[in-house]
Amino acid sequence: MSGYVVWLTGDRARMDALADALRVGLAGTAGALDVLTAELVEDKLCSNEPRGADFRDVVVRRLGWLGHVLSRNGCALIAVAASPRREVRDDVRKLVGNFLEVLVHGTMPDGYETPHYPEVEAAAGEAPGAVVARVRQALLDNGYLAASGNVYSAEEEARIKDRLEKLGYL
Amino acid sequence: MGRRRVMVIGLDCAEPSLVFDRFAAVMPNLRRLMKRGLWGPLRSTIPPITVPAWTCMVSGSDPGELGIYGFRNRKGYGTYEMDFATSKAVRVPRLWDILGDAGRTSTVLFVPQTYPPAASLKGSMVTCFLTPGPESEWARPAELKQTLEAAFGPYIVDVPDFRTDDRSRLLQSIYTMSGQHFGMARYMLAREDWDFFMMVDMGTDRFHHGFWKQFNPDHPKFVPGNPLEGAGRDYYAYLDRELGTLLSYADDDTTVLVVSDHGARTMKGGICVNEWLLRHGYLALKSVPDKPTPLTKVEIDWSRTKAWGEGGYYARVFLNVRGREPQGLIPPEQADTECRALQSLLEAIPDEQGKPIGTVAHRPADIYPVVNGTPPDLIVLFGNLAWRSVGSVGLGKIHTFENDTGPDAANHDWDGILVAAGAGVPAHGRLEGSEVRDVARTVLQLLDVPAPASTGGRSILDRIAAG
Repeated sequence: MSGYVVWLTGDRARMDALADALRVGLAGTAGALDVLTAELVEDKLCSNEPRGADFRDVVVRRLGWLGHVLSRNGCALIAVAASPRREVRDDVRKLVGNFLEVLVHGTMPDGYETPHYPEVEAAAGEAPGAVVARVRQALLDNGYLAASGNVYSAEEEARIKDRLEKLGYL
Repeated sequence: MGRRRVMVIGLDCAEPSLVFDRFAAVMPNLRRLMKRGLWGPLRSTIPPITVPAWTCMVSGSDPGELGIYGFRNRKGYGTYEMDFATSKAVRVPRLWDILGDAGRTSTVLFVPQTYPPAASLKGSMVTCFLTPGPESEWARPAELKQTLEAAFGPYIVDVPDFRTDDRSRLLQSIYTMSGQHFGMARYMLAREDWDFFMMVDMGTDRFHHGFWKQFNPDHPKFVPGNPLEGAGRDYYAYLDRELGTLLSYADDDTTVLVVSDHGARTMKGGICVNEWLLRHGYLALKSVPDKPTPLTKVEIDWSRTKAWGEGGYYARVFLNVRGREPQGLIPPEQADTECRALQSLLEAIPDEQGKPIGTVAHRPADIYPVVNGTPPDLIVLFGNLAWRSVGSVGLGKIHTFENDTGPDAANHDWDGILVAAGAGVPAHGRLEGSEVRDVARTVLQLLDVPAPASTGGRSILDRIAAG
């Protein structure tokens, strides 16, 4: 069983409820599954770090590294971090591999850099249950779960394939 | 000087020999642009196909960097399944991403590989023909869909029922689709505040594939005096009129680029790549069908299969390597030797009369500096694009003159078109040596936005300056 990281970014205040819903909704999809927050990493792993300009980045990178270690060992991590800097998130994405970014809309932190192509978006005010379903589907689409799929539903996929065949592309 | 803007008008498959020569007389708007600026061939990607060529154009990456080698790519070596190359498969920033980061606004219409639309777009977007249908979420911001539907009716994603013998209906459908898309472009140009505007008309490609033999005397099935002999001239004249209406939105501070991702040429026929692999012991089936059947519809005996291929305007051939593929057969230490041997054999396939056709088979590592994703082991261009690849089995022959998915008289060709004029572009005349990847850096230079270090290609302005 392969592991993965679901990375919540954006409105920090909405993330705890969503993370709890994901913990329940994704139970059993990896060897083990847990939720880690940036605050927890800050408290347990960064307490001696100087509070400089890049302190938040250090915390985010350490959370990402934990996700990397967990996912390569078949575990899943729900990472909760406002993580405003896109470059840092993208570095974590590269490190982890099986990485799924969930953009949580709402009140964004100052200087927040929106991801270009988050796999999932949680609209402001949207119920966590609907987001969980899309996260599960996105994990399937990206091949992070055993079954696979893609951007399209089965019916849409058949339609696109037929179109491309008729156009001569396939 | 006012606010610098760039307008890119893409005509998928527009062919240089038609635009610059044969139909130039009916394209006065384009001729005026050529006279004011520069023009010439625009070398496509390997392979020269809509996906990935447009994404290479707007990112500066090559297919190897993108890890995208066609419309469908393998999901990984751990499976034989393929997946569609949607916008989510693109992991490099495209022009509108880079410009958005720099605070510039983009209007992006119908550019291939934009479905589903970007979440972080600064500006507006209508997605491409890989959108499932008019009911899909094809616009950003989301409310734009309703606005455009109110003005233009349901979004015509592509030409419906493309493989038809009803030529007049097909021709009308192409004009209807292009008419709607150019209409939407004018609507957006008039209402949006844009720094970068880009649209891609797919009608040109559909027209070529649907009508090439009717208007090209070099096609073996061309009939002089056929009722559609003038359809090519009419269609290019129509494109020029549409172009003229868009140019009215380009002021003195706007640079205009008219580009295509590849050209078009006469297709002589198809090479049935899987039939060939079957006959030469590379491919094994549990049972061979007695009528043309897609490979995906037959049961492959993987325990005896060394290679299989995909059809399309070019072939992609995959080796079944032990430890790499789920039921691999070729020992890994022999994979390189097997690949080179197969490369030579495929390149030697003659035409139906035994004459050489000049096939080229590339190993991805030989042509791309970086090879990401799950590439084919060989990218095969039969007859250097004079022949297409037919993926079906059950035809009982290697050469066919009917496409397995219906009639088609045109294949893609290596060069598209480049015309650039307006602010920042000198009256240079003909320019040789440009390639699709150069467009990204050119646009960024024109808008004075630094290109990310990862952006490949070379600005055409730098090409001119270098002489």
